This record gives sequence, structure tokens and C-alpha cells, in this order.
Amino acid sequence: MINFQDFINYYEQSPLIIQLVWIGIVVMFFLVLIVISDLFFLRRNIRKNEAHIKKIQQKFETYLVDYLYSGNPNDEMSVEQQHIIAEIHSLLTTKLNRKQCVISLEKLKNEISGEMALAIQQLYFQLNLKQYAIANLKSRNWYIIAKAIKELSNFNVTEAQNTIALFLHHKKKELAKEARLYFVKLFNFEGLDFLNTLTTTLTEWDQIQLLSELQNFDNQQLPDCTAWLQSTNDSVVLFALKLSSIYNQFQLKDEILKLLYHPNNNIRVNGIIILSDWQVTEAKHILKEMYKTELTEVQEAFFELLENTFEPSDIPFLIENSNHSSFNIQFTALKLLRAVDVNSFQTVLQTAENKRITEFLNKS
Amino acid sequence: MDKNRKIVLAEDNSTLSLLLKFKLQKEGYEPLMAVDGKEAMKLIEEHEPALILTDIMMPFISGLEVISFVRNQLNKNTPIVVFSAAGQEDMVLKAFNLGANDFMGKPFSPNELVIRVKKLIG
Repeated sequence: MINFQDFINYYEQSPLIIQLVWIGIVVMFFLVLIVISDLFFLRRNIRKNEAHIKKIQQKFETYLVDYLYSGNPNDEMSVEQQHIIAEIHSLLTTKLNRKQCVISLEKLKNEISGEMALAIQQLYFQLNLKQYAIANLKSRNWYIIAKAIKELSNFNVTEAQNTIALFLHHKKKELAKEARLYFVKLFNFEGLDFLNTLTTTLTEWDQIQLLSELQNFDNQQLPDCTAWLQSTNDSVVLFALKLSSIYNQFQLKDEILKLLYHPNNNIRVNGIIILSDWQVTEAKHILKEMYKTELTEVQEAFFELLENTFEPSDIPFLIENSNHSSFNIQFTALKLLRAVDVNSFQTVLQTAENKRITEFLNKS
Repeated sequence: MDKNRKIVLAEDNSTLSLLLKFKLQKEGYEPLMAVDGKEAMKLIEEHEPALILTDIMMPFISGLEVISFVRNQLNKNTPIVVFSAAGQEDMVLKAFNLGANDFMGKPFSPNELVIRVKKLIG
């Protein structure tokens, strides 16, 4: 058996590189021990935290349900409710507990409506949780501010609007998005006033979220979008087009016709789609004049418009485009031609470069 | 307890689950709680409830599979009410095609839920 002295002698007699390797092994061994013990304590803390969170969540959920079912018929707060509020207050001494309390309130508020939803909101105010969210608006970390804004919008806290307004045009996109959603959620269409001065891009996802919030309101009276359709910010124009389409703002037809000359292709295409839905024939005449210089996607959108606004005088135009390089245009031109002038259709079909198009036409 | 009063409630939101349990108990029903579709199926098989209330989106096994299990495997006509969040209209249609009797969109009023339960099982 090797004893320690033999090992020391072996070590001293070894070449330098072997000594270094042995030092390395010992250092690694202690490092691994430290990491393992760190992981052990970390895991233990995580488990402890998880158990605490589960326990405190159950407590808050029980208090919440008891609170909701112990109210008086005359809407005044009962003695039991006051007692519950006092009990919850005594637990809100730590940040973790406050966070779990808000989570419990939000979990329920998002799922139920009516008197109970109002009662939950009242409870949020009575527990004075909003002061912590408002204080978080001054945080140096953007994600803490964003979470605070989200919480304040969930519980309809209007008094923070002046502070949150400062974030509407923040360079951090997620923060600006939360601020916009706050205003729309609390003030409906009036909350869209930020569009008047928006210089950053409103992404498709931002627009979808705003539209989703707007649809939750009973009052669906959209204010005048003219200014937004004239905005120098292309994303605002696109959003205004969406609003015009969803809320059937037919009175904005002339403004949208002007957008057919817009330098942005996407805006022109979206404008054409709306005018097509509304069957605005003036658009057809404007686009026909510009047709030859337009990009294919705009030409395709024009043909969709043509499907709704087609007249016999358009037959020569259809014949001219029956061999277009775009399949969609070819197909639509031939489909319309077949519907109004079978003879011309048969003549054109014989000279069609894409012979397979007949199969698609037969299936349509 | 009388079999007619048993209701299986499958809902993964623990707070909502607790609230509905409390509400149904107050109304004289015996709610049996499940946090996912798998647990719901087990309870349904074991207790043969008078009514099933199920969320559509749940962990492991969805509400749609629970409906299919009840209608196609157990061949039961137990009334089934589904809860759905906004934007899940296609799921609601699938639920009806599978045999659900009614649906409630979230957020919903617990008082309205009780009215519908009473209408279905008395």
C-alpha cells in the first residue's frame, strides 16, 4: 500500500510537468467539491423557495375565495372581509409574497367577469398593492418597469398614466409596447393618441395586440383616422388602414385613394385590398393608369380589386394580361374572361403559354 | 351523496378551480377536482358524474380528448360544458363536433355558470 511519504517522494522526484498535472488534479478536485456543495445549497434553496411559494399561493388563494364569498348583500365590506384583508396585509411584508399575491389576483381576474372581477380589483386597491407597482416604475431595469405597467393596466390603475406616458416612445420596444397597451386598455380609442407623434415602427405583432384590446370594449366608435392615414410613419398608416377596414370607415375612401400614390408598396397593396372589399371603382381607373409601372405584388392586388369591380370595358385589359408572368394574374384574367366573354376566352386559351392553367380553371 | 349531484371539474388554474369548487359546494353539488385531462378521465370513470365541466387547454390531455373519451370510449351522454379563452373559437367548434353540450367563454361569471349547471342537471 502506498503511504503518504512514498507519494511525497514520488512527487518530488517527478518531472515538472507531472508535478503540474498533480497540482492541477488537486485544484480541480477542490473546485469540483466547491461546485457540488454550491449546487447542493442552491438546489436546497430553490426547493425551499418553491415550497414556500406553493404554501403562500395556497394561502392567498384560500383568502381570496373566502373574501369573495363573505361579502354583504348591500355591497358594504363585512367584518369577515376586513379580517381577511388584515390577514393578507400581515403576509405582504416581503417582495416574494407581494408578487405571489398579485399573481393570485391576476390568475382569477383574467378568468372571471362581473361582480367578482370588480371585487378582486377592489381588493387589490384595499391591499394597497398599487403603490409597489407605481414605485417600480422608477426602477433602473426596463423589465421591472414593463411588469409594473402590465400589472397597473390589469388592475385599471389610472393614476399612473402621467408616469407611464413617458415610456410611450421609449427606445426599448417591449417597454414602449406595454405603455401603449396600458393606454389602450384603460382609455380605449382615446388611448391611441400616441399615434399622432409616434416615430418608431409599430410592428405587426404590436398592431395585432392593440386591435385585440380594442375589440374588448363595448363602445366601438372609432375616432377620425384621417391624421393617421396621412402620417409620415408608414407603420402608423398601415395600422390606420387596418382600423379603417375592421371598423368599416367608408367615409375615409378618398384618403385611402390618395394612398394609391404612396411610395411604400405595402401601403399601396393594403389600400387596394380595402378598396376592393368596399368595391370602389374609382380605384380601378387610377390603378389602370399606373399598372404598367407597378411591381407584381401591386398588380396582383389590383386584379383582386378587378374581381369585385369588373366591367365589360375591361375585356381588352384582361386579354392583354392573360399571358402575364404571374400565375395569379393569368388565372384571374382568364377566370374573369371566361365569365363574361367565352369566345375571347377560348381564343386566348389556345395561345396561352401555360397549358396547365386549364386544369386549374376547370377546378375553380 | 346522491349521484346526481356529482360534477367533475377539470381546470388547471388553481385559483379558479378553488373558486368554482366553493361555488358549486354552496349550491349543493359535489365537485370533484382535476388539474388536467388525465386526472379528469380517471375521476369520470370512477364516479360517473352527472355533469362534466372542462377547460379546453390543459396539460397532458386536453378538454377535447376528455370529451372524446366520454362520448366514444365510455359511450356516456353525460352533459359536458367546455370553457374556452378568447381566440379559441375553432376549438369550441371541435368540442361541439365531439359531443359537448355547451360552452362558456372566459372570462365568465360564476353565477351564470351555476344557472347553466342547474339547467342541465337541475
